[in-house]
Amino acid sequence: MRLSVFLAIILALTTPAYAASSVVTDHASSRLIAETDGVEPGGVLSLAFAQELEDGWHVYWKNPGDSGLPLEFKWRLPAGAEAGAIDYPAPHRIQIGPLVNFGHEGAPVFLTNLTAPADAPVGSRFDIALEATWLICADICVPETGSFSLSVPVVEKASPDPAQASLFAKARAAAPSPLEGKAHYAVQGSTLTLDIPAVDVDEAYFFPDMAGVSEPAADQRIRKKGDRLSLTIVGAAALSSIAGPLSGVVQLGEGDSAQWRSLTAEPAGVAPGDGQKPGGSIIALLIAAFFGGAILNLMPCVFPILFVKAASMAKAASGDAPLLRRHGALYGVGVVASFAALGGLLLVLRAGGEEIGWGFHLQSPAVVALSAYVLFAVGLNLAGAFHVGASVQNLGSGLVAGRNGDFSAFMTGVLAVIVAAPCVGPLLTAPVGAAAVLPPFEGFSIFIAMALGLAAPYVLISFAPGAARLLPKPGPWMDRFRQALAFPVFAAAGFFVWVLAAQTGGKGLALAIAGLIAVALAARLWEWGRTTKGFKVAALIALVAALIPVALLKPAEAAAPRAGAIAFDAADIEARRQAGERLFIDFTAAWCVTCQVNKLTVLSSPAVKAAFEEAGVGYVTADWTNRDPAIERALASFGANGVPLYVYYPAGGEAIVLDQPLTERRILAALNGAPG
Amino acid sequence: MLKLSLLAAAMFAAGPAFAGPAIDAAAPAFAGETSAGETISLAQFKGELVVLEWTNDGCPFVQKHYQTGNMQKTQRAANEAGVVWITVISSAPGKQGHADAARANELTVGYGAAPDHVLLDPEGVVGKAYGAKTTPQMALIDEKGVLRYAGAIDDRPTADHASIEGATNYLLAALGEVSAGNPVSVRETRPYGCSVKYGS
Repeated sequence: MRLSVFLAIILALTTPAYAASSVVTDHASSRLIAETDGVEPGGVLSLAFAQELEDGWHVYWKNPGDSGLPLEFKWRLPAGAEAGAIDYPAPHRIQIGPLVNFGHEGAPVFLTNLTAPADAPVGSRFDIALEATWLICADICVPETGSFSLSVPVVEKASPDPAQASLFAKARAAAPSPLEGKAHYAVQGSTLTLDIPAVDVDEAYFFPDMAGVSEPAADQRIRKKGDRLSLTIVGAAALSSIAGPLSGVVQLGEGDSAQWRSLTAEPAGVAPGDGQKPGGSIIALLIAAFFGGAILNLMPCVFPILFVKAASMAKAASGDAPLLRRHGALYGVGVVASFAALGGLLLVLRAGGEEIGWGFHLQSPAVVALSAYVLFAVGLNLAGAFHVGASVQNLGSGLVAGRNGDFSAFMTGVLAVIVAAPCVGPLLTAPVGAAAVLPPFEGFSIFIAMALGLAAPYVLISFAPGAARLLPKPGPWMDRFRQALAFPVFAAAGFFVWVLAAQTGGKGLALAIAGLIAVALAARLWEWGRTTKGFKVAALIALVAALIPVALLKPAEAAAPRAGAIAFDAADIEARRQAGERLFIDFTAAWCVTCQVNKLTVLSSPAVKAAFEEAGVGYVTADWTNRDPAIERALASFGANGVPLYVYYPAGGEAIVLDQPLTERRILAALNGAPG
Repeated sequence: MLKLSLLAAAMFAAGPAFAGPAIDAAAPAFAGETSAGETISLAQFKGELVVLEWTNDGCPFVQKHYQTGNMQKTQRAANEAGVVWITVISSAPGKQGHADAARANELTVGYGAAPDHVLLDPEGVVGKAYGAKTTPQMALIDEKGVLRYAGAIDDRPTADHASIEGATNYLLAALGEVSAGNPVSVRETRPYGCSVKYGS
């Protein structure tokens, strides 16, 4: 410090009065320096505010990080003159205990431009007075202030002051240069993802211009994907207020080779398919979505519907191939339209700030109850409890009726999607998760690919030439087959009732049973109505009565976690992690069939239980049966958008997301530290 | 498919963030010793409004509020509203602002301050539980133990004493709203001041 005081005095004595003004404070010496020997009327005068800080002390960047304050200028300028913003040198992270500040050590130089009034007379003086305030901290903080004044001649033609050229050149070289290529960002709950063109570095750190957007002390996760690089950043309170462009500086690399680039990132949704996204990965996601959709046909949710379609096909195939194709196509349209509607709604709600994920409609008890009703009614129809005349187009009849079934073929597609949602299978976690963060067009494409996959097997069979001939001839067996099919459908209805019980408790279960009895009554009344007038009206009244319990359904208080399990609480999990505990988080929901299957088979297996016990792993249940923004945010932080999801935290280590389908081997491998 | 799920795994962001608890959620429980030698806990104040104030007498931002009498004025206004005011000292031994019981009482008397308790937190446990980053920093907890406000005392992030005049006191605004049974309009602000001088 003594040296810098000395230098400041020497500089003050040796430079002309118009060029520099200096102030020495307790922990810094500061100078205000003009770049040129004069200013032209209407011209720009570049100024440097050059500081030399005492060793171990720092001042702050425009976003000071966890604490601190940026440099503040108060100008007194001739009328009509204007002062620009401060150009800061590249920010550095300065660790203060557990906190991190963004600032500068050593000899930072801050640049700024003044604009002289256009009518300033040549030959007059351009007088500048500046009161600068800065907070300077080591372990402790001291606010310092300095008053500076410069008097610069207004000239015809200003030329650079050679004595200051190297200082300005160095300051400009030290400032972050603009990033080449486009930057995008996405916000998922409290996580900020920044996406920039790839650079060959292993570490990167983003400094948002605005304070309070990110948590300065949190690590930023770097990930390279093709020609892009993304940073996953823990957000802070102001993140939710971000809309439109997000500016800041990214530090690429560490140590002497580190470079700083300034950037302005656009929201990911603003530039759909602008060629910046790697072509390979979206195609991979679409392919995964398609096959995941196709696999859904084999899942317990959709399988009964597939049975029913097979029966319908066998009947229709009795010589009417064009009709079969027509219904196949309409079924496909029904599937795609439903997915488009659900996917579109999901994206629109997300864009509106709702924290929801795939399967969100099943978090509504009313939707679950209605699904149970529909399946129950279909089952009753298949079992022969009631018949629907050809004159009435109705969902139940359509499932098996070969003729006049355009609408019902379409509705079967809709039904397939409704019942498929709980079974989001192994292949679909990544595409569905990605769909929510990608630009809308790409996200929507993923839902459509899933729909095409789900519809594909049946549509292909109905269009395959000669496929109809392979089916057995219609005969009396068909009635029995049809009646037998009622039972898998009842099982599906039973599943939805069980889900409802998990969502709404015993009271909800009672309401649902009352509703199902009303549906059964409606079926019987309808059947009587075929021969006796008036009963059909009664049947419709019974059906309306069945809706009353639906309106009364209310989500129960948060369900108790399974015995011995820890209820999900993000802060609690963070605390346990800090304490070095091992944790296994089971993201699950009652309506998620895949979750239930995993729970009954893999997670309850003696080998897994023993391994958890031996390793002292805490079992955390994150139950997403009802809406829960906290769980939604946690899922998003893992890039997922639906359940199931299984995450293991080793002692003191980073999270491991287990691959699916979940197997004992994968869990044991994760516990033993091997890659899953 | 394995690649894809690995990809999903890589999207995860973690790392120890120094972040505070969520607003409108249960405030973190704490217990500790006061400058009067009592042991207090948040739980014992259930049914009362509680204000936490982080302080460091060597910090120029804290000095701005105490030397102008602004903090004392805020404390008395809170007292009248029936608030339990707890001043927290999270500076570690040997660091700026650290105070033992005697020194803490001396400061309280010297400034004519009116806290109900001065909590000694030399290990920084309470400070870290609340994500306290600066001095001064405020937190308001309602009768049910729910954190309703966290952040700066006012909207003037400077150590300039003249800035007190005309500042919006976020804490008193939140206190007024909570007392009236209303939602808090500004629930979270970025605190300003010196960093809390934690030991580690």
